[in-house]
Amino acid sequence: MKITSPTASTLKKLKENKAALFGFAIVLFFITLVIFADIIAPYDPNEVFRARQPPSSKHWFGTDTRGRDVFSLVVYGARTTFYVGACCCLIEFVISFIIGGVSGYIGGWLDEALMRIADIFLALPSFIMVILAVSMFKARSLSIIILVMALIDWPYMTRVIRSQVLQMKNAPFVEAARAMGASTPRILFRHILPNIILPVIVLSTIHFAGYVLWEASLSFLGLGDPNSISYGAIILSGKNTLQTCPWISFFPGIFLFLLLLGFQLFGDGLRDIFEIRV
Amino acid sequence: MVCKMSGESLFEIRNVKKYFPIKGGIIPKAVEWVHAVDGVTFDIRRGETFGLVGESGCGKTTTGRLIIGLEKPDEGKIVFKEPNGRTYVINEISGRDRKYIASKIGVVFQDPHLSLNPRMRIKSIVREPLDIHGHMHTSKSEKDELVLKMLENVGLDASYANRYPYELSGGEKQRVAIARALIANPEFILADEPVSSIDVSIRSQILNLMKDLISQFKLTCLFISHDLSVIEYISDRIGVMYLGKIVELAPVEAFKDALHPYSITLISAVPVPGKRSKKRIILKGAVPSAINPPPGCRFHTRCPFATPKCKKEEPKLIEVEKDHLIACHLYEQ
Amino acid sequence: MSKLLDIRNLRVYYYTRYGVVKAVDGVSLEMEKGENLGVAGESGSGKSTLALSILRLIREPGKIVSGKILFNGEDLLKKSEEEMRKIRGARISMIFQDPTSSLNPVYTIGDQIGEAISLHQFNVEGGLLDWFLAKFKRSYVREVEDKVKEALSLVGVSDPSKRMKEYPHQFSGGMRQRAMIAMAISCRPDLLIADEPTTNLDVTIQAQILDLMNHLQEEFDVSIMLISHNLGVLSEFCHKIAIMYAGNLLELSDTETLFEDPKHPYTEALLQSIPRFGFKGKRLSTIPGKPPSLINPPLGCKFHPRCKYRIDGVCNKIPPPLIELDSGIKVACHRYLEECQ
Repeated sequence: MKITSPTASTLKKLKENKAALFGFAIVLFFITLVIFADIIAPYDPNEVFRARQPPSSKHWFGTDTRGRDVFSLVVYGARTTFYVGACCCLIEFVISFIIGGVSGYIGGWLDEALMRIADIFLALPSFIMVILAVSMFKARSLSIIILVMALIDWPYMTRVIRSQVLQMKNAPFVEAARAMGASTPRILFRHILPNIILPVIVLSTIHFAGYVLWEASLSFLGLGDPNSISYGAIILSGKNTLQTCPWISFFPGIFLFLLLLGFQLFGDGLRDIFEIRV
Repeated sequence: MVCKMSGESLFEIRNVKKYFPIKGGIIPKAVEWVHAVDGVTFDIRRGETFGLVGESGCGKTTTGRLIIGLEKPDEGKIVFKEPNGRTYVINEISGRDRKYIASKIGVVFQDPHLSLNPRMRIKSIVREPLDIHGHMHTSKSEKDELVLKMLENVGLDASYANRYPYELSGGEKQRVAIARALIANPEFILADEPVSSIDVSIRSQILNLMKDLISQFKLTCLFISHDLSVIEYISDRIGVMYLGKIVELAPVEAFKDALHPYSITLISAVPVPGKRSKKRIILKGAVPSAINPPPGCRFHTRCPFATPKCKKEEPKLIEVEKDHLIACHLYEQ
Repeated sequence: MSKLLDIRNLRVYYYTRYGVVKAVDGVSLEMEKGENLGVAGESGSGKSTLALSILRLIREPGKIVSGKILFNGEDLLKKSEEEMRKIRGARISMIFQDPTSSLNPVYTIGDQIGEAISLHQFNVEGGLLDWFLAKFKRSYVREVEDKVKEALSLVGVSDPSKRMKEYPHQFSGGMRQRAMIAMAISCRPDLLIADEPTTNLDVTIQAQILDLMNHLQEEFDVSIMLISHNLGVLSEFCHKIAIMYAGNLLELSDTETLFEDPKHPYTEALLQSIPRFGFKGKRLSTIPGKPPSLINPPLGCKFHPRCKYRIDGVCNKIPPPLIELDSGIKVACHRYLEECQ
């Protein structure tokens, strides 16, 4: 008799949810771009050709005001975007797990204090804070932008993790671990973490899209890393020539839109499949 | 009159109280208190199976949790005594002592489906107490062997080791819980309603298994249940709780002739297969609130034999026969 | 005299993503008027599904595949949803295991019992006009209120005029179950189905509720189908007991004989494995193995892998038919087939 594992039934549900599948397909598409950028892109993105060329057989997406091939820019831009999104999500997770885990599990005044601090962050408009913080730096690098975004955005994930930990705290198997003398770190990492990872992953997927949008917005406002290839920056560079060379802003814009859409759909689909109330 | 305890005790529970706050108001402050455990005193003797029985809200589960240190009492002491004379006060120890005591205690919870980590394999679940308590001299392969042996002890063959909890039935999961409780060679087992969530046709398997293992490993056991027949089957001594207090404490042989009105009611309420509508004592009303327990004897509001004294004065737990204690004014000499 | 309830060869299957769960797999049962029937079985035996089928409350992915359910001679499975709604609560009532989840927390107890009364005794269909009636026509409101008070005092709720204004969370578990019974009895049904009504209650409260049900049954001549895994509870007032296992009916016998001389091996083994108060010292016998899967049940008799009397070649191949012994007892076991021959 075959007992279906949770994984098998999840995959079945995934197949049935069309929106999630579509989102997943888009995500896969972008991951392919990221991994195989060197093969897919016909030219080095910084190589300069004749500027402001419309899309042609040599330059599928045309060239920008500086003469760079827009198609290669878009392909390599995916790398930057993923790098930013992944780093932010990772840092956010680590901070949130430590703060949320400790806060939720230990409770007491520490929990109260940390949550009040989180409340302060939550009350302020986060993106404005990001803009302010980033603009305070003279020299801007991708790392600074990543750190700023993750450090300002931590309360959301922290709250989610904290509430999950609060629920798990009283689960019988956690009590069993406590009764047998398990230390708090052991309980947090071995027992609680594996069981809360699902909602965290789902939320991360959606946060990923958020970080991508922030980074693109920062770049569009001119606050991004000047040395990196960002969709926002490319769109910015095409701003003044929208009438004459629409392709410069159009293609990165479309790709940005697709990327965000893909992650949102996938994240929402995951949430439906796992029936997570977050 | 202080009750006399005989036999060497493993746990000495003295006047333990635990109140849970009900918070209210804008500034969360304790407005009222639930008197979950309200002055409980008894011993658990080395080698015996002590059955704690009572209905929902009587405080038996909380008492069990206090004894093994999952909760801290608001008043009173719980002492763990070793044969060499060393004692540990459960509600005061910390650090290394706490861990040491944890290695001496095994727990089996009520719901087998929730008491095993769904993301761990059976062998990791059972091995965990060994991992926690160092057992420096045991290598990983030795630990694994111990796990397999313990699984065999509880009637599960080696193929179960690599499975996940979702692949097992309720009865099998409970066997795993028992294996986990026993693997670090504890001296004491707390079993909190271990068969209440198990199918009727499997219950006897688990009960017999526990009985055998308790005698095989010479364990002391505190067995908590609301099912009087199960308690009678497995226990050496029985304690009856009502609204946070122990009302009667007797060896199991003496229990069918229980003396306390509540115990008698409990016994008569147990439906017996085959007997139609036998005569029984039907109590009036429901269990009173544990937030404002009735004054005097807590049972007086429903007791068919209540006297005026019962409404005013709380009866003390006194020994009326050898090893048979009761808290009831009707039996005071 | 036609039987009150006559279930013939009922099959109820659940079509899940894991396979077809044969919850009820060819069950035939009868109940006479004035008789109490107990349906015993463990989780997965199909007893709750059986009860829900009688009231046609089975929902996707479950489906009543085949069979007949005759209530006073009429086949319930052929009735329209409209007709069923007139029967539910009025001629057949049901109370469930967990009164907390069966009661709507945002309406008072009085409202909920009143609703049952309105729907059935006053033929209030629930439309807008009737809503007005219910709220504003004084005489009507008072009549319903009186009936609610009557129902509540019948089930032993003291001070009914005060308590009917309370909400479910203000009632204790036993009281909630009484409220459920009041709702179920309010329209004087012919048949009351009680699905594990006392399982979640303390033993002393259980005694009260069983006592109440006994009393109500005598006074109103309701026939009760009591479903429970607790054989002791069933023997309280059931004249006959049906033993179910994995979707099949294994034995149907009067209560006394069932306990003194069980016919089916499962019944026998079950009775020997239950701890009984006052019998300290006797080691419990056990039933080896575990309840079978309902998706891939064992071939032949579903109990055979755990049966100590099994006959190889017969029990593991051919499902035993339900046969009637001379005493009127019905049993589904090959041992008795042989005897009959």
